[in-house]
Amino acid sequence: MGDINFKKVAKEDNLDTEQTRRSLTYWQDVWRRLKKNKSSMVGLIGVLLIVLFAIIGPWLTPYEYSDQVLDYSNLPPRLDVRQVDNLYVNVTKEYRVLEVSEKGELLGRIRIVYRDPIAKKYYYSKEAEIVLDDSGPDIYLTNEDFDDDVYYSQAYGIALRDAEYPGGANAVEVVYIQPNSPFVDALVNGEEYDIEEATYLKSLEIDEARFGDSDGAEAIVLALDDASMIERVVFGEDILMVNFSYKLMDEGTRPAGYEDVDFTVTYHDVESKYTDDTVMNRLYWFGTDELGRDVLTRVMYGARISLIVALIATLVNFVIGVTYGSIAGYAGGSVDDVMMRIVDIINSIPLVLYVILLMVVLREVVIDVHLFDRDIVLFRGSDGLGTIIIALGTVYWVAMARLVRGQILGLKEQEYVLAAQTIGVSNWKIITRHLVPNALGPIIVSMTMMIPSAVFTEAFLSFIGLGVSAPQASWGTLANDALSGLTTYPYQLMFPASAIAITMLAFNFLGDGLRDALDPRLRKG
Amino acid sequence: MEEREPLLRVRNLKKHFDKSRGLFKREKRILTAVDDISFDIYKGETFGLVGESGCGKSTTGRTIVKLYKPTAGQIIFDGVDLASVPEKDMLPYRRKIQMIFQDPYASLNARMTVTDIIAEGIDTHKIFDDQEDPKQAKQKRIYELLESVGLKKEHANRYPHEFSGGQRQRIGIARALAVDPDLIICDEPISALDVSIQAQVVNMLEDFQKERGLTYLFIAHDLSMVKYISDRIGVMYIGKMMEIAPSDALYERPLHPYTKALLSSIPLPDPEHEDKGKRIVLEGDVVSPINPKDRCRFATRCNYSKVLIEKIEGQFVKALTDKYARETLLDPNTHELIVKENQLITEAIANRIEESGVKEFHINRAKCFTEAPELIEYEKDHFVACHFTEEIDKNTL
Repeated sequence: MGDINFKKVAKEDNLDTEQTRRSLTYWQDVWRRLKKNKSSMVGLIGVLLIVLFAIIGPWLTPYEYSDQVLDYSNLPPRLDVRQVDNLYVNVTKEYRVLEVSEKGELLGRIRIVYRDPIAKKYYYSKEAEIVLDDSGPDIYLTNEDFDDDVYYSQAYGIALRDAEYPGGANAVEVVYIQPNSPFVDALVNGEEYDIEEATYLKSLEIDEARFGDSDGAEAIVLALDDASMIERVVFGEDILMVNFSYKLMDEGTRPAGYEDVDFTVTYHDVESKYTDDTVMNRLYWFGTDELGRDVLTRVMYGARISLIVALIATLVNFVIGVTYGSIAGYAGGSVDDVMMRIVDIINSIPLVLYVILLMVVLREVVIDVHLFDRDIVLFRGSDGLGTIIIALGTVYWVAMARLVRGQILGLKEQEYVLAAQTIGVSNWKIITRHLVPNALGPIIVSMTMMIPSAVFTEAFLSFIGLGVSAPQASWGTLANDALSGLTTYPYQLMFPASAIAITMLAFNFLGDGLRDALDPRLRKG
Repeated sequence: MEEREPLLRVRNLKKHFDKSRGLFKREKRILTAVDDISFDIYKGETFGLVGESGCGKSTTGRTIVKLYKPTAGQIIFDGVDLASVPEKDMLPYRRKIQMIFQDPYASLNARMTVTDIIAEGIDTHKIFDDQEDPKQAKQKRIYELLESVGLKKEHANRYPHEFSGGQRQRIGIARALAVDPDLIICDEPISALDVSIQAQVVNMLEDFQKERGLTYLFIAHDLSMVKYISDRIGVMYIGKMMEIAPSDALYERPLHPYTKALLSSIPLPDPEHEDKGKRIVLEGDVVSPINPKDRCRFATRCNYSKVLIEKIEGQFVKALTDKYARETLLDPNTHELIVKENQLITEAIANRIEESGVKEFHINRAKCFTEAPELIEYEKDHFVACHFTEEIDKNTL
């Protein structure tokens, strides 16, 4: 067989060429290993999405983080819609009635015109009108911009104890009209009603009442002595009534057919007992907070602040920690001893103490530069952001310095370092070319783990009130704001809390994967 | 032999490490890794340095390249005492002395390509900076070096992990050669390689020596390899130089008892002659290099360093009430004295007798236990540090 199958090859043919492929650099190899790790890729994608969310998100929303629409305060991300006659309404937990489209777009608020607290019925009208007695000089409006609709509904003084007019609410509560009085009949029937005939239960004297409206205008009503200046109230045809008396009745006493009804909405004699549909809130996807600000927008801006804090803190830690740690580790001996004792001292002071002290010290500090004919503020102590970054920057590098020192202590005895010393490479070059690159794996892992930890610390500090100041918000302050209404509006806490949780998970997954990829020997299990 | 010119003269070199313990280092512990050694290395020769592990041969090598700061002594290289050159002025000398390391896996930085590793010396010493195109000259030089150590151009951009142990060691050699050194310290360069590769590397080193007139300090514990490669050999034991001789002389006629024992441990590749009672088995404890006493460091294990009970006088029964003394001096079964007059005992027993407080023994210790022997030129080129060189040589002991 040999004769047939084998042929003698001349040596010059040189057939045994070496098969080579392009060699992978260390980082290509790391990326290859990282790609294989599913959970870390999920983490990486999560991190990228969060970063995109923080960078691009705020450009895509029509709102600013400080925009307030008081009519739309505390709205959930999903709206319960009732259809009564041809009208779609959403009744909020405070019995505000919002007109919505069938798809869930908010169209406007239907104002309350009368509350009957004893019968537990509220009356709303889109067209109610107040005719004022223009004879007396009793009312002075100090602001021309003040919205008419708010004004009259305020000024005719019928039992308005609305939470959305802080400071003004009590002041306007001038007149109580006896329940079930002819006023109500007139109201329901859409008739004119002479206010003088109402039976007054109580009359308060006030000198000054302050109102705000949804556009931010403010007016001061002076010397509202009594309700005498209201001549008559003209009600429109479209009175809408919310009856929430059933909710407070005991199970057995409810009328037939109303056993599980929370409240009814009546409009044009059509009564709606149940929610017809739950639709997405198309104006505010994540709902609104207690001042009617868009939660989605605020979470996006919060992401910016939280990530900026985390990123800058981590970079500062990287630079200080690696420099400090590598000098301590490479120098060794008494230099190392002194440097590490300093680290111990810094480490023994609690972070919260730092932040409080820095807050106090830096409150008045403003650093700005004059550049291109503009004043650019680099640092303003009062807004809290810089302070938190400084606080994290002064404390967090300690762990990094320890880690790097430990790594360098081990690496500097390696023979390739001795070889470099034999060649005469300078100490600084040995640190930057030989030691730090070889310690980079643990450093990067520690950095990835430090980001979520910094996010969390920032959230924690903001949560206890040491963070950024209003109207700016980080995830921590958002969570803190949501805490007061937690039982009624849990979604307000849910979104910032989930954002924190997702960020931490994503970075931790990525960090775990990176650790495995950068140093496969460390892999657990 | 014609007058040779020493390239490196090491004089009374000491390297001590402070291992003191306790608060403010109250307990002084000085590790004498290298303690007062002197030797010359002549131009173009290979000087082998052997000894068991921990005897300080690597420390000697590293101190010569000033990886460690010498505690005392002189390292005279080409007429300049390197020990007194401050660190900042060392750069020109660093180019002249290079080192090849033991572990081919630890001696190359895994984050650098072969080119970067070899180029490091060229960059640091700015070797081609005066040339027209330093980049190209450097590249050319790296290719030359790679080919001269038996690697290929294509390997230049690879990373160390892509090479075998032998190839890595070749890269290490290329790195050392890149700066055109005069002296290369080979710190056990072949002990981590398998036998077939060892021969290749050693032959390559010899070729370079012939081509470039290199001088080697070859540190090893493989005695047969050292004999093969070295012109002269120094034997170290616990920080001290015991014997220096031309390699043939050393192997044929070792004078120091330690060298004798060391050489007898070389296995013979001949089953007929193997193990015919020729092997000298050393007994006794190895002396600690920490705070050593001023005496021959080999004395505790040496067959020639004797401790003799010269005389036992008087009654010492009283002293035997001491439990320690009883255990030392009496046989536990027969309760008779273990030692007699004119009996040779080990130094350990002598110490115990003295510690037990029994004063009736006259113990005579050999010189080895009381003073350190000097390294003296017993014959031409043959240095021995032993009190009994002559007696051992003439077999009169």
